[in-house]
Amino acid sequence: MIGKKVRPLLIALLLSGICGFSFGQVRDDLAFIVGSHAPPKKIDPGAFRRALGSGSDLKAAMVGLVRVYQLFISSQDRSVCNFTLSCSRFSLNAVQKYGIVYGLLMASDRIQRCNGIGRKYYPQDPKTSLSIDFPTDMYYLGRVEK
Amino acid sequence: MFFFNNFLSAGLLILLSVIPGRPDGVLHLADELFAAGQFDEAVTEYKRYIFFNAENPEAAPGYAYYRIGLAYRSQGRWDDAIATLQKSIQAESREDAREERRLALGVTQIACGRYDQADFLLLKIEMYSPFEEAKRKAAFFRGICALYTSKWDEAREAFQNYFGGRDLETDALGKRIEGLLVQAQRKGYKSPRLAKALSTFVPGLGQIYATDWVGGLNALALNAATGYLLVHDLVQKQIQDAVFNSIFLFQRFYSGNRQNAEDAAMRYNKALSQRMAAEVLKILERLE
Amino acid sequence: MRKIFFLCAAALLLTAFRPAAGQETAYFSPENILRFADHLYEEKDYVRAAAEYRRYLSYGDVPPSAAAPIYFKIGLCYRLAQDYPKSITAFQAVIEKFPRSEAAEGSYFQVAYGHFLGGRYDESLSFVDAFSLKVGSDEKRLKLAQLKGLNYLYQKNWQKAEDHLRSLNEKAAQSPLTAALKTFAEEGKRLPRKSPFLAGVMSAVIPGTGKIYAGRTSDGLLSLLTIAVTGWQACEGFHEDGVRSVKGWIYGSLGAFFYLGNIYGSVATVRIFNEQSERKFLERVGVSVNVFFQ
Repeated sequence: MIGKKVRPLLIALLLSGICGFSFGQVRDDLAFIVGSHAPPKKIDPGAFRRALGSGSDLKAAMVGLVRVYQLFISSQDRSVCNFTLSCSRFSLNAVQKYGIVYGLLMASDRIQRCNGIGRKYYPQDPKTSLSIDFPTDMYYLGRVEK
Repeated sequence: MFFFNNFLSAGLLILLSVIPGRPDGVLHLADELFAAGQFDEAVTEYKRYIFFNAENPEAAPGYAYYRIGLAYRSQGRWDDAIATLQKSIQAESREDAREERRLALGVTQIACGRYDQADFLLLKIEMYSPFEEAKRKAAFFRGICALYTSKWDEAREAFQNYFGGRDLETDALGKRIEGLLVQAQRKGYKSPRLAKALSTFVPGLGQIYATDWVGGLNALALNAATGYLLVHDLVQKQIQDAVFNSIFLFQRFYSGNRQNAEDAAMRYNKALSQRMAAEVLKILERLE
Repeated sequence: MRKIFFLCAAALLLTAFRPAAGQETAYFSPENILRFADHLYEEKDYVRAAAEYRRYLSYGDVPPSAAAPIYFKIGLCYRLAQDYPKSITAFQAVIEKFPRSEAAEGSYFQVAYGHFLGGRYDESLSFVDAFSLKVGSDEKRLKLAQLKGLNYLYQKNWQKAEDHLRSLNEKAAQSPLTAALKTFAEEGKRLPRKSPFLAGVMSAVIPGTGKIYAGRTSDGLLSLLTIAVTGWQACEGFHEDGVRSVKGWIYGSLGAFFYLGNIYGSVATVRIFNEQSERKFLERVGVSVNVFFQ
């Protein structure tokens, strides 16, 4: 009696050993794929306020003006900036880092350099074909020459 | 009885040769480190195993390369992961293991956004694999690939291949997914060309059509202001000012408005496709 | 039934005690750890190689004659992995632990070189000055002296580099690297340099000319055109409506904004031009001398 029950089990054991591996669950792989496509973290809404730092009210107003320009005016313009970092972002960085005077001067220079004819003076980004400008701090005259 | 007992003895001996012995010490250590998420240390031990078993015919370097590939994948080192998984396929002699690694390679390519390469690889598995289970898995991941690239027809076909012939409950799930995919195809996508044309006649209308209300009203206001300046200069016969206004203001914002309308429609369509794909993925993640 | 039971039990026992493939290999014996570390070094997996060399040393019982080269190798691994602080620490450990060994002789150069590669030229120079006399071998002392010259070049101290290289003895002067460095020092002194002050003055007098002087002809011409047009429009506006002219004030402000930016930009552009020409020159120097310092 016992022998009759044991034989099929042994045969099944034998066959499963010979037939090879199974291919595992798809669920873990799917979870991995979905996880790697997770959307990027949202920009901290307080970051802009903190970015103004402890600078003067005038500096904050300047930064605010540039932000208003970015949101309501430049967003309606064609994508005409020749550089990878747009002129408004460059200006924003310059004002935040070096103050209003240097910021405005650097912004003015940058706007005048932002033209299609001067592309040969800069390396080109292979993905977007836009010019890669030098880092902002290279345009700051208050630094020590390297 | 005599014949049966001898058959059983022979079968057990074959089984003995197929079942592997105790796992190699360093391979076991590497697996433990991998399971604990210490991928750098795990890779070191897998590399140690490969180095010391290069001349060993009984060794399984393909398995070690495979695990290294998975470790790199977990760390987001996509190029290294893909190269190592390809190596693991070449180093493996057993066809079933090779198929498993090809599937892992396909999953890796989907995860890092190389959908074309993944689709090509998975299609080959689906068409030529000798293993039914591998074919079905390949069909499933081809469907996932198609979801991420908004190819709804291909996704439907792939999931039909995966779900077809399974038990009733899974078939119901399959039908629900198919329903969602049909809905995704018919969903109200916005035409970028129509958006651009609408904004040509009335600045901002194309953006509103593409549900970008803020952008549309902004475009309308800006174009109205610059248009008014232009007309005012023309009426006042200030031709110079009219020329400057048209070159530096009106023309830029008018053509920008048309471009933005087209972009708004494309963004809307992309967001809609992503929402539909996410809904299907949510159901698939609940698969048993 | 009994036979079947015994057959199964035998199969299971044999399976449980059957050795796995490669079980004979003593993976973690000191010799094998060293072999594996050398393999990782050959494969350019330097960080892992350093970890394995450290593991080898941690086993203890490594005689100083064998340990010193291993410590040296660890330093090399970190240097090649571009982790210069760790590399410097490792080489300093060689000097402290095995001061009379050959590895220590080589480590003096490696510490100074690590500082140089990390851009800390002052530290590199200080180290060379402090320790070059401790180096016994003429060849290694020469290498340190040449590194000193290279540091001066990277500090753009062309005259100091030239003076130092000329002060080396006759035998050192004959070395191809010394000759190359002397040539570079002379070339460095002749590098084209433009005056930022002159660029600013030129742009103040005629907008855009400072940028043309800096080599950006199209930028200069565009600046000139922009400032001229805005200035002209401002003049028109004030001419028509006087001081109350809105057009005049708008174009005037724009013109002033661009004019000041043009002066600033000319000075900044010339500074960048000077820095870029020096950087490209030093890149060439680096490529030429790299092979001597491997």
